Amino acid sequence: MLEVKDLRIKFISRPDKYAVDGVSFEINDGEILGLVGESGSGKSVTAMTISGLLQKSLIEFEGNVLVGGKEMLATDREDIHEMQGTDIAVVFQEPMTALDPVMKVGPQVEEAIRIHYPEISAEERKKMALDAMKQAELYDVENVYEKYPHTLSGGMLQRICIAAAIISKPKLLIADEPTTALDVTTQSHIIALLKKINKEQGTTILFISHNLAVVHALCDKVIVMQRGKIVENGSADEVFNNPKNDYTKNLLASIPSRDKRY
Amino acid sequence: MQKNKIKKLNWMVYTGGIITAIIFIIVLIGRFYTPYDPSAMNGQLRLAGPSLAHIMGCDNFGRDIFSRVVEGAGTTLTIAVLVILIGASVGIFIGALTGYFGGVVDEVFMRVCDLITAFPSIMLALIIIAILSPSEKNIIWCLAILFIPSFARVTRSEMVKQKSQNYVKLAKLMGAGSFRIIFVHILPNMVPVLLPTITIGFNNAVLAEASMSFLGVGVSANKPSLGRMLSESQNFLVTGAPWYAISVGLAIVLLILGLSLLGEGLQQWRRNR
Ligand SMILES: Nc1ncnc2c1ncn2[C@@H]1O[C@H](COP(=O)(O)OP(=O)(O)OP(=O)(O)O)[C@@H](O)[C@H]1O
Ligand SMILES: [Mg+2]
Repeated sequence: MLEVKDLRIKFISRPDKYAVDGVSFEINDGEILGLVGESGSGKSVTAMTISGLLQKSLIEFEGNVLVGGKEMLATDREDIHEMQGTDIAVVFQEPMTALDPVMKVGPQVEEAIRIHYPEISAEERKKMALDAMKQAELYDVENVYEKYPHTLSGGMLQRICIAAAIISKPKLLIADEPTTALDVTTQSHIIALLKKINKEQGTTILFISHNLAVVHALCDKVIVMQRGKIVENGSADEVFNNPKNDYTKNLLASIPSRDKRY
Repeated sequence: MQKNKIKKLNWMVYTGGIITAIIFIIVLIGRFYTPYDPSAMNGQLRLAGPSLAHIMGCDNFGRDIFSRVVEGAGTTLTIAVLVILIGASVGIFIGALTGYFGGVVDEVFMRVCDLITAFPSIMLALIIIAILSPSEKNIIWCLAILFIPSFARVTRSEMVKQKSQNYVKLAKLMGAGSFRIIFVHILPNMVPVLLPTITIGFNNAVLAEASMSFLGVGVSANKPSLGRMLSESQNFLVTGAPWYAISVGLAIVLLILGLSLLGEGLQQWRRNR
Protein backbone atom coordinates (compact mmCIF):
# COMPACT_ATOMS: atom_id res chain seq x y z
CA MET A 1 0.00 0.00 0.00
CA LEU A 2 2.60 2.52 1.11
CA GLU A 3 6.24 2.19 0.27
CA VAL A 4 8.86 4.69 1.42
CA LYS A 5 12.30 4.15 -0.05
CA ASP A 6 15.42 5.86 1.27
CA LEU A 7 13.61 9.13 1.89
CA ARG A 8 15.77 12.16 2.68
CA ILE A 9 14.30 15.58 3.36
CA LYS A 10 16.21 18.76 4.04
CA PHE A 11 14.62 22.16 4.64
CA ILE A 12 16.27 24.89 2.61
CA SER A 13 16.00 27.15 5.65
CA ARG A 14 18.11 24.64 7.62
CA PRO A 15 20.67 23.28 5.19
CA ASP A 16 22.95 21.84 7.89
CA LYS A 17 20.81 18.81 8.74
CA TYR A 18 18.38 16.33 7.28
CA ALA A 19 14.97 16.38 9.00
CA VAL A 20 14.42 12.91 7.55
CA ASP A 21 17.60 11.02 6.86
CA GLY A 22 17.35 7.84 4.80
CA VAL A 23 14.05 6.39 5.95
CA SER A 24 12.67 3.21 4.36
CA PHE A 25 9.58 1.28 5.36
CA GLU A 26 6.40 -0.14 3.94
CA ILE A 27 2.86 -0.77 5.06
CA ASN A 28 0.82 -3.59 3.57
CA ASP A 29 -2.88 -3.30 2.72
CA GLY A 30 -5.02 -3.18 5.84
CA GLU A 31 -2.15 -2.86 8.29
CA ILE A 32 -1.71 -0.29 11.04
CA LEU A 33 1.83 0.98 11.34
CA GLY A 34 2.88 2.93 14.42
CA LEU A 35 5.53 5.61 14.06
CA VAL A 36 7.04 6.72 17.36
CA GLY A 37 9.95 8.90 18.44
CA GLU A 38 10.79 11.96 20.46
CA SER A 39 9.84 15.50 19.49
CA GLY A 40 11.70 16.68 16.41
CA SER A 41 12.65 13.18 15.27
CA GLY A 42 11.00 13.76 11.89
CA LYS A 43 7.69 11.95 12.29
CA SER A 44 5.51 14.79 11.09
CA VAL A 45 7.84 15.68 8.24
CA THR A 46 7.65 12.06 7.07
CA ALA A 47 3.86 12.13 7.31
CA MET A 48 3.61 15.47 5.52
CA THR A 49 5.79 14.18 2.71
CA ILE A 50 3.58 11.14 2.26
CA SER A 51 0.42 13.25 2.25
CA GLY A 52 1.92 15.76 -0.19
CA LEU A 53 1.61 18.74 2.14
CA LEU A 54 5.23 19.83 2.04
CA GLN A 55 5.83 22.70 -0.34
CA LYS A 56 8.42 21.49 -2.83
CA SER A 57 10.05 24.92 -3.02
CA LEU A 58 11.00 24.79 0.66
CA ILE A 59 12.73 21.42 0.68
CA GLU A 60 15.37 19.28 -0.99
CA PHE A 61 14.39 15.67 -1.26
CA GLU A 62 15.69 12.29 -2.39
CA GLY A 63 14.08 8.86 -2.48
CA ASN A 64 10.62 7.58 -3.30
CA VAL A 65 7.21 7.58 -1.72
CA LEU A 66 4.76 5.22 -3.39
CA VAL A 67 1.10 5.27 -2.38
CA GLY A 68 -0.79 2.41 -3.98
CA GLY A 69 1.98 2.26 -6.54
CA LYS A 70 1.76 6.00 -7.37
CA GLU A 71 4.82 8.17 -6.79
CA MET A 72 4.12 11.14 -4.53
CA LEU A 73 7.40 13.01 -4.73
CA ALA A 74 8.01 13.56 -8.41
CA THR A 75 4.39 14.07 -9.45
CA ASP A 76 3.02 17.50 -10.24
CA ARG A 77 0.55 19.36 -8.07
CA GLU A 78 -2.55 18.40 -10.07
CA ASP A 79 -2.00 14.67 -9.58
CA ILE A 80 -1.33 15.12 -5.90
CA HIS A 81 -4.55 17.15 -5.52
CA GLU A 82 -6.31 14.23 -7.19
CA MET A 83 -4.98 11.78 -4.59
CA GLN A 84 -5.52 14.01 -1.57
CA GLY A 85 -8.97 13.39 -0.14
CA THR A 86 -9.49 10.26 -2.25
CA ASP A 87 -6.54 7.88 -1.81
CA ILE A 88 -4.96 9.61 1.18
CA ALA A 89 -6.67 11.25 4.13
CA VAL A 90 -5.18 12.87 7.20
CA VAL A 91 -6.27 13.42 10.80
CA PHE A 92 -4.41 16.05 12.80
CA GLN A 93 -3.30 16.43 16.37
CA GLU A 94 -5.38 19.53 17.15
CA PRO A 95 -9.06 18.97 16.41
CA MET A 96 -9.81 22.43 17.87
CA THR A 97 -7.96 24.22 15.09
CA ALA A 98 -8.22 21.70 12.27
CA LEU A 99 -11.68 22.79 11.17
CA ASP A 100 -12.76 26.01 9.49
CA PRO A 101 -14.16 28.13 12.37
CA VAL A 102 -16.88 29.86 10.33
CA MET A 103 -18.25 26.84 8.48
CA LYS A 104 -20.71 24.33 9.91
CA VAL A 105 -19.08 20.99 10.64
CA GLY A 106 -21.43 18.96 8.42
CA PRO A 107 -20.43 20.64 5.16
CA GLN A 108 -16.79 20.27 6.23
CA VAL A 109 -17.24 16.52 6.47
CA GLU A 110 -18.44 16.66 2.85
CA GLU A 111 -15.45 18.66 1.60
CA ALA A 112 -13.56 15.78 -0.04
CA ILE A 113 -16.70 14.61 -1.86
CA ARG A 114 -17.57 18.14 -2.97
CA ILE A 115 -14.09 18.60 -4.40
CA HIS A 116 -13.53 15.23 -6.01
CA TYR A 117 -17.01 14.06 -6.97
CA PRO A 118 -18.89 17.16 -8.15
CA GLU A 119 -21.37 14.89 -9.93
CA ILE A 120 -22.81 13.71 -6.61
CA SER A 121 -25.93 15.70 -5.67
CA ALA A 122 -26.17 17.80 -2.52
CA GLU A 123 -28.69 15.49 -0.83
CA GLU A 124 -26.68 12.40 -1.65
CA ARG A 125 -23.58 14.15 -0.31
CA LYS A 126 -25.31 15.06 2.91
CA LYS A 127 -26.43 11.46 3.34
CA MET A 128 -22.84 10.32 2.88
CA ALA A 129 -21.71 12.85 5.50
CA LEU A 130 -24.30 11.69 8.02
CA ASP A 131 -23.25 8.10 7.36
CA ALA A 132 -19.58 8.91 7.88
CA MET A 133 -20.45 10.77 11.08
CA LYS A 134 -22.34 7.73 12.34
CA GLN A 135 -19.38 5.55 11.48
CA ALA A 136 -17.23 7.92 13.51
CA GLU A 137 -19.59 7.11 16.37
CA LEU A 138 -21.21 10.51 16.63
CA TYR A 139 -24.76 10.52 17.89
CA ASP A 140 -27.63 12.79 16.94
CA VAL A 141 -25.83 13.44 13.66
CA GLU A 142 -28.59 15.52 12.04
CA ASN A 143 -28.22 17.99 14.86
CA VAL A 144 -24.42 17.92 15.02
CA TYR A 145 -24.30 18.48 11.25
CA GLU A 146 -25.60 22.04 11.77
CA LYS A 147 -23.14 22.97 14.55
CA TYR A 148 -20.14 25.26 14.31
CA PRO A 149 -16.77 23.89 15.54
CA HIS A 150 -16.48 26.10 18.63
CA THR A 151 -19.68 24.62 20.09
CA LEU A 152 -18.33 21.05 20.12
CA SER A 153 -15.90 19.29 22.48
CA GLY A 154 -12.40 18.20 21.43
CA GLY A 155 -13.42 14.55 21.26
CA MET A 156 -16.43 15.32 19.07
CA LEU A 157 -14.34 17.53 16.81
CA GLN A 158 -11.80 14.75 16.37
CA ARG A 159 -14.67 12.44 15.39
CA ILE A 160 -15.79 15.06 12.87
CA CYS A 161 -12.25 15.14 11.46
CA ILE A 162 -12.23 11.35 11.26
CA ALA A 163 -15.63 11.40 9.54
CA ALA A 164 -14.27 13.93 7.05
CA ALA A 165 -11.26 11.68 6.46
CA ILE A 166 -13.17 8.43 5.91
CA ILE A 167 -16.10 9.79 3.88
CA SER A 168 -14.25 9.15 0.62
CA LYS A 169 -13.10 5.67 1.75
CA PRO A 170 -9.37 6.45 1.52
CA LYS A 171 -6.89 3.64 1.08
CA LEU A 172 -4.40 5.24 3.45
CA LEU A 173 -5.27 7.19 6.59
CA ILE A 174 -2.49 9.17 8.22
CA ALA A 175 -3.15 10.09 11.85
CA ASP A 176 -0.52 12.46 13.26
CA GLU A 177 -0.85 12.28 17.05
CA PRO A 178 -4.64 12.31 16.82
CA THR A 179 -5.13 11.86 20.56
CA THR A 180 -2.39 13.98 22.11
CA ALA A 181 -4.70 16.96 22.67
CA LEU A 182 -7.46 14.87 24.23
CA ASP A 183 -8.07 13.56 27.74
CA VAL A 184 -7.34 9.92 28.57
CA THR A 185 -10.88 8.56 28.26
CA THR A 186 -11.57 10.28 24.95
CA GLN A 187 -8.15 9.16 23.81
CA SER A 188 -9.03 5.48 24.29
CA HIS A 189 -12.36 5.97 22.48
CA ILE A 190 -10.64 7.48 19.48
CA ILE A 191 -8.08 4.65 19.41
CA ALA A 192 -10.89 2.10 19.49
CA LEU A 193 -12.62 3.98 16.67
CA LEU A 194 -9.51 3.90 14.48
CA LYS A 195 -9.17 0.18 15.12
CA LYS A 196 -12.81 -0.33 14.13
CA ILE A 197 -12.41 1.65 10.92
CA ASN A 198 -9.33 -0.40 10.08
CA LYS A 199 -11.20 -3.67 10.67
CA GLU A 200 -14.48 -2.78 8.98
CA GLN A 201 -13.20 -0.89 5.97
CA GLY A 202 -9.74 -2.36 5.63
CA THR A 203 -8.22 1.12 5.74
CA THR A 204 -4.45 1.13 6.00
CA ILE A 205 -3.37 3.44 8.82
CA LEU A 206 -0.13 5.25 9.57
CA PHE A 207 -0.43 6.17 13.22
CA ILE A 208 2.02 8.66 14.71
CA SER A 209 2.41 9.02 18.44
CA HIS A 210 4.66 9.78 21.37
CA ASN A 211 2.85 7.18 23.36
CA LEU A 212 4.29 3.68 23.04
CA ALA A 213 1.54 2.10 25.12
CA VAL A 214 -1.13 3.41 22.75
CA VAL A 215 0.88 2.30 19.77
CA HIS A 216 1.24 -1.19 21.21
CA ALA A 217 -2.50 -1.45 21.75
CA LEU A 218 -3.37 -0.33 18.23
CA CYS A 219 -0.65 -1.20 15.76
CA ASP A 220 0.53 -4.30 13.92
CA LYS A 221 4.00 -2.97 13.21
CA VAL A 222 6.08 -0.27 14.83
CA ILE A 223 8.86 2.01 13.62
CA VAL A 224 10.95 4.03 16.03
CA MET A 225 12.60 7.21 14.73
CA GLN A 226 15.41 9.21 16.24
CA ARG A 227 16.98 12.30 14.68
CA GLY A 228 15.52 11.55 11.26
CA LYS A 229 16.60 7.92 11.17
CA ILE A 230 14.79 4.67 11.83
CA VAL A 231 16.40 2.95 14.80
CA GLU A 232 13.95 0.09 15.30
CA ASN A 233 11.49 -1.64 13.01
CA GLY A 234 9.42 -4.72 13.72
CA SER A 235 6.10 -6.13 14.84
CA ALA A 236 4.46 -4.28 17.73
CA ASP A 237 4.97 -7.17 20.13
CA GLU A 238 8.62 -7.58 19.16
CA VAL A 239 9.46 -3.95 19.63
CA PHE A 240 7.47 -3.65 22.80
CA ASN A 241 8.58 -6.80 24.58
CA ASN A 242 12.02 -7.22 23.19
CA PRO A 243 13.56 -3.92 22.07
CA LYS A 244 16.96 -4.25 20.42
CA ASN A 245 17.91 -0.60 20.45
CA ASP A 246 18.99 1.35 23.54
CA TYR A 247 16.95 4.37 22.51
CA THR A 248 13.79 2.27 22.30
CA LYS A 249 14.55 0.78 25.71
CA ASN A 250 14.74 4.29 27.15
CA LEU A 251 11.48 5.27 25.47
CA LEU A 252 9.81 2.20 26.95
CA ALA A 253 11.26 2.86 30.38
CA SER A 254 9.78 6.35 30.31
CA ILE A 255 6.22 5.00 30.04
CA PRO A 256 4.57 4.70 33.42
CA SER A 257 3.82 1.00 33.77
CA ARG A 258 0.20 -0.05 33.80
CA ASP A 259 0.31 -1.54 37.27
CA LYS A 260 1.82 1.52 38.82
CA ARG A 261 -0.42 4.06 37.16
CA TYR A 262 -3.11 4.42 39.78
CA MET B 1 -14.84 44.76 33.48
CA GLN B 2 -15.17 42.51 30.46
CA LYS B 3 -18.91 43.04 30.56
CA ASN B 4 -18.46 46.80 30.70
CA LYS B 5 -16.25 46.71 27.66
CA ILE B 6 -18.77 44.73 25.67
CA LYS B 7 -21.51 47.12 26.72
CA LYS B 8 -19.44 50.05 25.60
CA LEU B 9 -18.72 48.54 22.22
CA ASN B 10 -22.31 47.59 21.75
CA TRP B 11 -23.19 51.16 22.48
CA MET B 12 -20.81 52.40 19.78
CA VAL B 13 -21.90 49.91 17.16
CA TYR B 14 -25.58 50.48 17.85
CA THR B 15 -25.48 54.27 18.01
CA GLY B 16 -23.26 54.49 14.95
CA GLY B 17 -25.38 51.95 13.13
CA ILE B 18 -28.63 53.73 13.92
CA ILE B 19 -27.36 57.17 12.93
CA THR B 20 -25.94 55.79 9.68
CA ALA B 21 -29.08 53.80 8.93
CA ILE B 22 -31.37 56.83 9.47
CA ILE B 23 -29.24 58.97 7.18
CA PHE B 24 -29.21 56.27 4.52
CA ILE B 25 -32.99 55.88 4.72
CA ILE B 26 -33.62 59.62 4.43
CA VAL B 27 -31.20 59.84 1.50
CA LEU B 28 -32.82 56.85 -0.21
CA ILE B 29 -36.27 58.38 0.17
CA GLY B 30 -34.77 61.63 -1.09
CA ARG B 31 -33.92 59.96 -4.39
CA PHE B 32 -37.66 59.80 -5.08
CA TYR B 33 -39.17 62.48 -2.91
CA THR B 34 -37.98 65.68 -1.28
CA PRO B 35 -40.29 68.28 0.32
CA TYR B 36 -39.36 70.78 -2.40
CA ASP B 37 -37.59 70.59 -5.72
CA PRO B 38 -33.93 71.05 -4.63
CA SER B 39 -33.21 73.37 -7.56
CA ALA B 40 -36.49 75.37 -7.60
CA MET B 41 -35.67 79.03 -6.90
CA ASN B 42 -37.97 81.47 -5.22
CA GLY B 43 -36.90 85.13 -5.06
CA GLN B 44 -39.18 85.90 -2.16
CA LEU B 45 -37.53 83.31 0.04
CA ARG B 46 -33.91 84.44 -0.43
CA LEU B 47 -32.00 83.51 2.77
CA ALA B 48 -35.28 82.96 4.61
CA GLY B 49 -34.76 81.66 8.12
CA PRO B 50 -35.93 78.26 9.36
CA SER B 51 -39.70 77.93 9.58
CA LEU B 52 -42.26 75.17 9.71
CA ALA B 53 -42.42 75.10 5.92
CA HIS B 54 -38.63 75.18 5.46
CA ILE B 55 -37.10 73.58 8.55
CA MET B 56 -33.54 74.48 7.57
CA GLY B 57 -34.42 77.75 5.89
CA CYS B 58 -33.62 78.79 2.33
CA ASP B 59 -30.36 79.63 0.53
CA ASN B 60 -29.35 82.71 -1.43
CA PHE B 61 -31.49 81.63 -4.40
CA GLY B 62 -34.48 80.87 -2.20
CA ARG B 63 -34.04 77.08 -2.55
CA ASP B 64 -35.13 74.80 0.32
CA ILE B 65 -31.94 73.92 2.21
CA PHE B 66 -33.28 70.68 3.71
CA SER B 67 -34.16 69.30 0.27
CA ARG B 68 -30.72 70.33 -0.98
CA VAL B 69 -28.97 68.73 1.99
CA VAL B 70 -30.79 65.44 1.33
CA GLU B 71 -29.93 65.66 -2.36
CA GLY B 72 -26.32 66.63 -1.57
CA ALA B 73 -25.89 63.81 0.92
CA GLY B 74 -27.21 61.50 -1.81
CA THR B 75 -24.50 62.66 -4.20
CA THR B 76 -21.81 62.26 -1.56
CA LEU B 77 -22.98 58.83 -0.43
CA THR B 78 -23.37 57.53 -3.98
CA ILE B 79 -19.80 58.52 -4.74
CA ALA B 80 -18.54 56.99 -1.47
CA VAL B 81 -20.44 53.73 -2.03
CA LEU B 82 -19.03 53.35 -5.54
CA VAL B 83 -15.51 54.25 -4.41
CA ILE B 84 -15.62 51.61 -1.67
CA LEU B 85 -17.30 49.03 -3.89
CA ILE B 86 -14.51 49.32 -6.45
CA GLY B 87 -11.64 50.03 -4.06
CA ALA B 88 -12.54 47.29 -1.59
CA SER B 89 -13.24 44.52 -4.07
CA VAL B 90 -10.09 45.20 -6.07
CA GLY B 91 -8.00 45.72 -2.94
CA ILE B 92 -9.30 42.62 -1.19
CA PHE B 93 -8.85 40.53 -4.33
CA ILE B 94 -5.26 41.68 -4.86
CA GLY B 95 -4.37 41.47 -1.18
CA ALA B 96 -5.79 37.96 -0.89
CA LEU B 97 -3.86 36.65 -3.89
CA THR B 98 -0.53 38.34 -3.13
CA GLY B 99 -0.78 37.35 0.53
CA TYR B 100 -1.56 33.75 -0.29
CA PHE B 101 0.95 33.17 -3.04
CA GLY B 102 3.69 35.56 -1.90
CA GLY B 103 6.79 35.73 -4.09
CA VAL B 104 7.98 38.45 -6.43
CA VAL B 105 4.52 39.69 -7.44
CA ASP B 106 3.71 40.22 -3.77
CA GLU B 107 6.95 42.12 -3.26
CA VAL B 108 6.42 44.39 -6.27
CA PHE B 109 2.81 45.04 -5.45
CA MET B 110 3.49 46.04 -1.88
CA ARG B 111 6.13 48.53 -3.06
CA VAL B 112 3.57 50.09 -5.42
CA CYS B 113 1.18 50.37 -2.47
CA ASP B 114 3.90 52.04 -0.41
CA LEU B 115 4.45 54.50 -3.22
CA ILE B 116 0.78 55.43 -3.44
CA THR B 117 0.33 55.76 0.31
CA ALA B 118 3.50 57.83 0.69
CA PHE B 119 1.46 60.88 -0.40
CA PRO B 120 -1.60 62.11 1.46
CA SER B 121 -4.43 60.67 -0.62
CA ILE B 122 -6.57 63.82 -0.67
CA MET B 123 -3.68 65.86 -2.03
CA LEU B 124 -2.99 63.24 -4.69
CA ALA B 125 -6.68 63.19 -5.59
CA LEU B 126 -6.76 66.99 -5.84
CA ILE B 127 -3.79 67.04 -8.19
CA ILE B 128 -5.12 64.25 -10.40
CA ILE B 129 -8.60 65.74 -10.63
CA ALA B 130 -7.20 69.19 -11.33
CA ILE B 131 -5.38 67.66 -14.30
CA LEU B 132 -8.24 65.40 -15.48
CA SER B 133 -11.05 67.94 -15.04
CA PRO B 134 -13.52 67.47 -12.23
CA SER B 135 -16.38 65.12 -12.98
CA GLU B 136 -18.24 62.61 -10.90
CA LYS B 137 -16.79 59.72 -12.86
CA ASN B 138 -13.21 60.95 -12.54
CA ILE B 139 -13.58 61.47 -8.81
CA ILE B 140 -14.94 57.96 -8.30
CA TRP B 141 -12.15 56.29 -10.27
CA CYS B 142 -9.45 58.43 -8.78
CA LEU B 143 -10.55 57.87 -5.17
CA ALA B 144 -11.20 54.17 -5.78
CA ILE B 145 -7.66 53.64 -7.04
CA LEU B 146 -6.21 55.63 -4.15
CA PHE B 147 -8.22 53.52 -1.69
CA ILE B 148 -7.04 50.17 -3.09
CA PRO B 149 -3.74 49.99 -1.13
CA SER B 150 -5.35 50.29 2.31
CA PHE B 151 -7.67 47.36 1.59
CA ALA B 152 -4.95 45.33 -0.10
CA ARG B 153 -2.59 45.81 2.85
CA VAL B 154 -5.05 44.77 5.53
CA THR B 155 -6.22 41.78 3.49
CA ARG B 156 -2.69 40.70 2.70
CA SER B 157 -1.41 40.76 6.26
CA GLU B 158 -4.48 38.89 7.50
CA MET B 159 -4.08 36.38 4.67
CA VAL B 160 -0.48 35.71 5.70
CA LYS B 161 -1.74 34.95 9.21
CA GLN B 162 -4.63 32.77 8.06
CA LYS B 163 -2.86 30.69 5.43
CA SER B 164 -0.69 28.87 7.94
CA GLN B 165 -3.66 27.91 10.10
CA ASN B 166 -4.48 24.24 10.52
CA TYR B 167 -7.87 24.46 8.88
CA VAL B 168 -6.15 25.63 5.70
CA LYS B 169 -3.72 22.71 5.85
CA LEU B 170 -6.62 20.31 6.27
CA ALA B 171 -8.44 21.82 3.30
CA LYS B 172 -5.26 21.37 1.24
CA LEU B 173 -5.05 17.76 2.37
CA MET B 174 -8.56 17.20 1.06
CA GLY B 175 -7.32 18.28 -2.32
CA ALA B 176 -8.92 21.73 -2.34
CA GLY B 177 -7.43 24.06 -4.98
CA SER B 178 -5.94 27.45 -4.11
CA PHE B 179 -8.98 29.43 -5.24
CA ARG B 180 -11.35 27.34 -3.18
CA ILE B 181 -9.08 27.73 -0.16
CA ILE B 182 -8.76 31.50 -0.60
CA PHE B 183 -12.34 32.41 -1.41
CA VAL B 184 -14.42 29.72 0.26
CA HIS B 185 -12.38 29.05 3.38
CA ILE B 186 -10.12 31.98 4.22
CA LEU B 187 -12.10 35.06 3.11
CA PRO B 188 -15.13 34.32 5.33
CA ASN B 189 -12.69 34.03 8.23
CA MET B 190 -11.43 37.54 7.47
CA VAL B 191 -14.83 39.25 7.75
CA PRO B 192 -14.18 40.47 11.32
CA VAL B 193 -11.08 42.25 10.04
CA LEU B 194 -12.57 43.47 6.78
CA LEU B 195 -15.79 44.88 8.23
CA PRO B 196 -14.22 47.69 10.28
CA THR B 197 -11.76 48.39 7.47
CA ILE B 198 -14.60 48.85 5.01
CA THR B 199 -16.55 51.09 7.41
CA ILE B 200 -13.54 53.28 8.12
CA GLY B 201 -12.74 53.38 4.40
CA PHE B 202 -16.28 54.52 3.70
CA ASN B 203 -15.91 57.25 6.29
CA ASN B 204 -12.71 58.42 4.60
CA ALA B 205 -14.36 58.34 1.20
CA VAL B 206 -17.17 60.63 2.44
CA LEU B 207 -14.60 63.02 3.90
CA ALA B 208 -12.49 62.95 0.74
CA GLU B 209 -15.43 63.72 -1.53
CA ALA B 210 -16.68 66.49 0.77
CA SER B 211 -13.22 68.07 1.01
CA MET B 212 -12.71 67.96 -2.72
CA SER B 213 -16.09 69.54 -3.43
CA PHE B 214 -15.42 72.11 -0.74
CA LEU B 215 -12.21 73.07 -2.49
CA GLY B 216 -14.03 73.32 -5.81
CA VAL B 217 -12.61 70.27 -7.58
CA GLY B 218 -15.58 68.07 -6.85
CA VAL B 219 -18.77 67.33 -8.71
CA SER B 220 -20.10 69.80 -11.27
CA ALA B 221 -21.44 73.10 -9.96
CA ASN B 222 -25.11 72.49 -10.70
CA LYS B 223 -25.26 69.31 -8.63
CA PRO B 224 -25.65 69.76 -4.88
CA SER B 225 -23.04 68.01 -2.77
CA LEU B 226 -22.36 68.49 0.93
CA GLY B 227 -18.82 69.81 0.42
CA ARG B 228 -19.81 72.33 -2.24
CA MET B 229 -22.80 73.57 -0.21
CA LEU B 230 -20.60 74.06 2.83
CA SER B 231 -18.19 76.17 0.82
CA GLU B 232 -21.06 78.30 -0.61
CA SER B 233 -22.74 78.73 2.74
CA GLN B 234 -19.58 80.28 4.25
CA ASN B 235 -20.41 83.57 2.48
CA PHE B 236 -23.55 83.93 4.56
CA LEU B 237 -22.21 82.68 7.85
CA VAL B 238 -21.90 86.14 9.39
CA THR B 239 -24.04 88.11 6.97
CA GLY B 240 -27.53 86.99 7.70
CA ALA B 241 -27.97 83.24 7.20
CA PRO B 242 -25.88 81.22 9.70
CA TRP B 243 -28.46 78.38 9.53
CA TYR B 244 -27.27 77.55 6.01
CA ALA B 245 -23.75 76.61 7.11
CA ILE B 246 -25.01 75.11 10.36
CA SER B 247 -27.50 72.81 8.57
CA VAL B 248 -24.97 71.57 6.04
CA GLY B 249 -22.27 71.25 8.71
CA LEU B 250 -24.62 69.30 10.94
CA ALA B 251 -25.40 66.87 8.14
CA ILE B 252 -21.68 66.22 7.54
CA VAL B 253 -20.94 65.90 11.25
CA LEU B 254 -23.78 63.42 11.81
CA LEU B 255 -22.75 61.31 8.83
CA ILE B 256 -19.10 61.17 9.90
CA LEU B 257 -20.02 60.63 13.54
CA GLY B 258 -22.27 57.68 12.68
CA LEU B 259 -19.69 56.07 10.43
CA SER B 260 -16.79 56.66 12.84
CA LEU B 261 -18.70 55.19 15.78
CA LEU B 262 -19.64 52.19 13.69
CA GLY B 263 -16.08 51.69 12.44
CA GLU B 264 -14.45 52.19 15.81
CA GLY B 265 -17.02 49.98 17.53
CA LEU B 266 -16.52 47.17 15.03
CA GLN B 267 -12.76 47.42 15.41
CA GLN B 268 -13.02 47.06 19.18
CA TRP B 269 -15.45 44.18 18.81
CA ARG B 270 -12.88 42.43 16.61
CA ARG B 271 -10.05 43.01 19.11
CA ASN B 272 -12.10 41.67 22.01
CA ARG B 273 -13.32 38.59 20.24
N1 LIG C 1 9.01 24.14 8.17
C1 LIG C 1 10.19 23.72 8.69
N2 LIG C 1 11.32 24.44 8.45
C2 LIG C 1 12.49 24.02 8.96
N3 LIG C 1 12.65 22.95 9.72
C3 LIG C 1 11.58 22.20 10.00
C4 LIG C 1 10.28 22.55 9.50
N4 LIG C 1 9.37 21.64 9.93
C5 LIG C 1 10.09 20.74 10.66
N5 LIG C 1 11.40 21.07 10.70
C6 LIG C 1 12.46 20.35 11.39
O1 LIG C 1 12.39 19.00 11.04
C7 LIG C 1 12.67 18.19 12.17
C8 LIG C 1 11.60 17.15 12.34
O2 LIG C 1 10.40 17.77 12.75
P1 LIG C 1 9.03 16.99 12.91
O3 LIG C 1 7.96 18.01 13.00
O4 LIG C 1 8.92 15.96 11.86
O5 LIG C 1 9.19 16.28 14.33
P2 LIG C 1 8.17 15.33 15.03
O6 LIG C 1 8.86 14.03 15.17
O7 LIG C 1 6.87 15.33 14.35
O8 LIG C 1 8.05 16.01 16.46
P3 LIG C 1 6.75 16.14 17.37
O9 LIG C 1 6.65 14.86 18.11
O10 LIG C 1 7.08 17.28 18.28
O11 LIG C 1 5.58 16.42 16.51
C9 LIG C 1 12.79 19.10 13.35
O12 LIG C 1 14.15 19.24 13.67
C10 LIG C 1 12.24 20.40 12.88
O13 LIG C 1 12.94 21.47 13.47
MG1 LIG D 1 4.84 16.05 14.89
